[in-house]
Amino acid sequence: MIIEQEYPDLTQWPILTATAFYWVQTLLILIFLGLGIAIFREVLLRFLDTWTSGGIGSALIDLPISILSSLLNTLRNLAVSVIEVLALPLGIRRIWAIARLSIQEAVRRRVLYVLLLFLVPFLFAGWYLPTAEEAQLRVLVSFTNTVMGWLLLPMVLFVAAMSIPKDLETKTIQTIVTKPVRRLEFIVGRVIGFMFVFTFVIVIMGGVSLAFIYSQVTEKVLKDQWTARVPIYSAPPENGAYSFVFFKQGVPSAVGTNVGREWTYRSHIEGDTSDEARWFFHFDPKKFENADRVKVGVTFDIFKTTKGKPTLDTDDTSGVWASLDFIDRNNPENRIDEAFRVNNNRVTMIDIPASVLKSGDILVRARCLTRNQYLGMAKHDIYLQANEQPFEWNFAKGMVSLWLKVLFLTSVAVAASTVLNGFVTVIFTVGVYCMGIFHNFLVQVGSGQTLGGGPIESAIRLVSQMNQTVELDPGFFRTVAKTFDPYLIKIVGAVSAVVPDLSTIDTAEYVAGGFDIPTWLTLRNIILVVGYVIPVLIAGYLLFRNRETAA
Amino acid sequence: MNRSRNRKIGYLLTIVVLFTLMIWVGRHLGNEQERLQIAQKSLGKVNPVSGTAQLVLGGFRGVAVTLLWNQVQEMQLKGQYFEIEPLVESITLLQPHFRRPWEFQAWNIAFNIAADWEAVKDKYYWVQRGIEFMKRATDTNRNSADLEWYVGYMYFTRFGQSDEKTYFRQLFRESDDLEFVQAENGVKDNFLKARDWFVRANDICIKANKPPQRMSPHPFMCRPALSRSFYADFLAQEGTFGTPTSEAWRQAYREWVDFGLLGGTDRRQDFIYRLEYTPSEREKLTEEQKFWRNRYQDVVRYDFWKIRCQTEADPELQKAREAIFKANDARKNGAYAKAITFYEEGLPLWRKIMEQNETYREDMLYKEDCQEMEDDYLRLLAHVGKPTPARRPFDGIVPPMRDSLYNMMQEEAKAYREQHPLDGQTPGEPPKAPSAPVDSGEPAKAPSSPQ
Repeated sequence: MIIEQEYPDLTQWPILTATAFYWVQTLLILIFLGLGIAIFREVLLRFLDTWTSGGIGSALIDLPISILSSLLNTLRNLAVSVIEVLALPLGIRRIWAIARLSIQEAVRRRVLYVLLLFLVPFLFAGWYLPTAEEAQLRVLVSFTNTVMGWLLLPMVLFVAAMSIPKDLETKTIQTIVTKPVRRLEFIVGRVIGFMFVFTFVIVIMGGVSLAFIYSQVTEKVLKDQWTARVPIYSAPPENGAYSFVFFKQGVPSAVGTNVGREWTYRSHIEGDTSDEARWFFHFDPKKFENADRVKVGVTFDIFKTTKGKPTLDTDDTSGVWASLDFIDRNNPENRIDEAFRVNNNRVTMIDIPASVLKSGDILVRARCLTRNQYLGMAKHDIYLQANEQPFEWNFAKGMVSLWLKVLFLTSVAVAASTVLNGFVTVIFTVGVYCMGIFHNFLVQVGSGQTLGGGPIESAIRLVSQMNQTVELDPGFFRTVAKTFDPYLIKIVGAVSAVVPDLSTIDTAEYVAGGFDIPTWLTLRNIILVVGYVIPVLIAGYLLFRNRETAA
Repeated sequence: MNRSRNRKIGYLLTIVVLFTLMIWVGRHLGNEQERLQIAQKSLGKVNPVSGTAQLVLGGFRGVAVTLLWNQVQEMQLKGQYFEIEPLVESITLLQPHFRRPWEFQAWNIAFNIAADWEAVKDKYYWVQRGIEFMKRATDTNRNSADLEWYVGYMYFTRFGQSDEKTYFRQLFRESDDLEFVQAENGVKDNFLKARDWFVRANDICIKANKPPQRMSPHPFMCRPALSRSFYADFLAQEGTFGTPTSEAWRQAYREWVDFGLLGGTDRRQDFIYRLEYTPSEREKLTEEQKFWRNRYQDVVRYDFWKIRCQTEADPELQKAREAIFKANDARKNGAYAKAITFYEEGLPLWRKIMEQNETYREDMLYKEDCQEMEDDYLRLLAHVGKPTPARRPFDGIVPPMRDSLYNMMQEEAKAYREQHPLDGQTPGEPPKAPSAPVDSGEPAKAPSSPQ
């Protein structure tokens, strides 16, 4: 399968430490941001107060005192908060009580009706889903994922964002804050309660989706594709740094020949020359101990410089051919050659005897055998199939991604709703979510890599329909754009450092392609999202603390 | 109390009046829609999903389509072809009555995506997907001659004119998907299937008495006849001769004549200019009418096709073609003696036909065919060590085949220089452009143009 961005294996401890460090960093950014705003607000209010009562002079004299006192006040608050955060586990019973309340509230607000709504798209789904067997599973999985996403997100937004503002409005909050429940416990309880409901909804939706997919696919698909293959990809050898290397005229190189493909995922080797690509496999030899034959999946791209004859199954002289050499690195005598006709855009499965893999330290050499033609390959284009997992289990693992997105949204919405009113919270949360989805773009804007300048300049170009590559005309607007854009870009950069990259937690591609979702990937996603949820909740709590609930 | 009641009655009356007006206005609008053929149901099949999607998105339809379109482009770059299909489908669900997206994406699937697959079977699959996509366009947009024509065009070019045509046509004949491959006359052939769609497109034009939008009417409307001709031609190319092929050519001839009889001679009134006249009618034509008639026949080579259909239907020519086909086949399989016999049977027949037909003698394609046959034959004789005949088979009809285009041009240039010595030019200067008439595309000899 195509893996464009690789993530480090999180089961290795240094990475875990780095991730933990990242959390702390995010937490600190959020806290400083929140406290800074709080102090600024307090000082400003006091300054205006003294100005109106005693004139500008006394206000100015009072300013340093005011700053100092508010700083001290904040520090005291912070100290209390730290204690409260640390003491959170002690309040488990109170949190649970709040959670139960939230569940009841959500159910009373007829959240579960969304399940009925969920069935509607399936009524029409069969009409326009493809019939090609190769495509069925892919399209069905992405279809059900999209439907679930589109229905869940609005529901989550409205339930989570409206709840606290409504409590404040109807003053029911007063019956809670007067109880011996800490405010952090209140927020955490809310999130946990909502998540119970949403988890229930996701489980039901996932079950229905799975049943739907099962009912739609043909028997052949059930036989061939209803599985989750566990692949072993290449890995650097013990004393090496690279797992995948090209050789051009005998010289190692990180990339092969560039044939001019716009998508640079794969690099090419020329046919009938000494060009080759090498993969190193390093795995536990016990994996294939009991196997007789092992399946190897290969996906290469074909780039032709001459058209040649049409490729027919019946004609062995047609098409582009590749050879794969499997060599035991500990015993080079133990090797096997496989030549096959390449079929692009899909996986070719090759059967090799397991004996060649018994050392667990393998070199695979690929060459293109057909003159004048090129073969494109990337690191993940060859895998050894270790074993297979049930599709259903993989589908459930895929649901974890959706669950994590919901958790993220719920936390952001609950935290934001402690200070914002309901509707503004919805907009805010949607904004954060979109920034998470288009995180790449945000990073590009924040680092000034986008064509057409910063936000103001882009806005001018949008309105005046001006090309991105043309310099702005000198004048008032240009001055405004050039003056303020650098600051706005910095702000965008700061925001991009705080918002998580949600586009990378999608695992539907694995499920659809019939590949087992690696444990480390799930772990990474959990760490990524939970690592944001915790600081967000703490920030929400700090904001909530400062809020006057009785007013 | 009274005032409030009066006000309520007032409201009620206003409501009743407005509703009555609404019903009337609505009915009027409905009638207008019907009259102008722009109501959903008169445009084509109504899809509830499409309708719902359009309603839900409202003004954001264009934005959604743009996003989807971008996504399609990106997926295509990465070769995620199977995922593209549902996306393309969504685009056309959102804007079912835009002609361009349908055509663009159908072409994209049948040409670009198909070309990016390696095996012939895979290519065939994507061509079929593209054509089926285009067929859905005609379902949703009834009475669009351009769309119907395009389906035919895809059947015609994609299966009949691509590099893989031999295999495509074989797969086409072997297919069990009768709805896709079987033409109305029950034959599984892409040209006949294309013809069915071209006929439908023509019928729409004729019924509406309007020319198509895609291109000028002659190349558009000659397609059924052209498809028939290609069908007959491919029968011969694939080794069927005699009565079936002759009959196919005769049918093609009839179809060309039908096409020639379409329209009239008033360039402002009739949407297509008539090409076929009886000799007596022809005499009555004015110079200007004759000029335009000749000009339009040139566009589709009407006269050539008519003569070709007539000649190819000739049993003698069928015999000649069969002999040459067998000769080529035997030569390629190494049965040289047999091949020579077939050549010696076929070449004189060919010569006779060329002698009888002036149009053929002047046609580049036939000239080239003759040169090729002759060359194959002569080289075969040389190869097996037999003496070359004293007279070339096509001596006096076509010049012998030159070994390359470059040499041919050199020779022609030499001949030209010999005929036109450097009169008044300094040596080294390029010779003057040939004085032979060059077709500049302008109606140079045209009498006053009516437009």
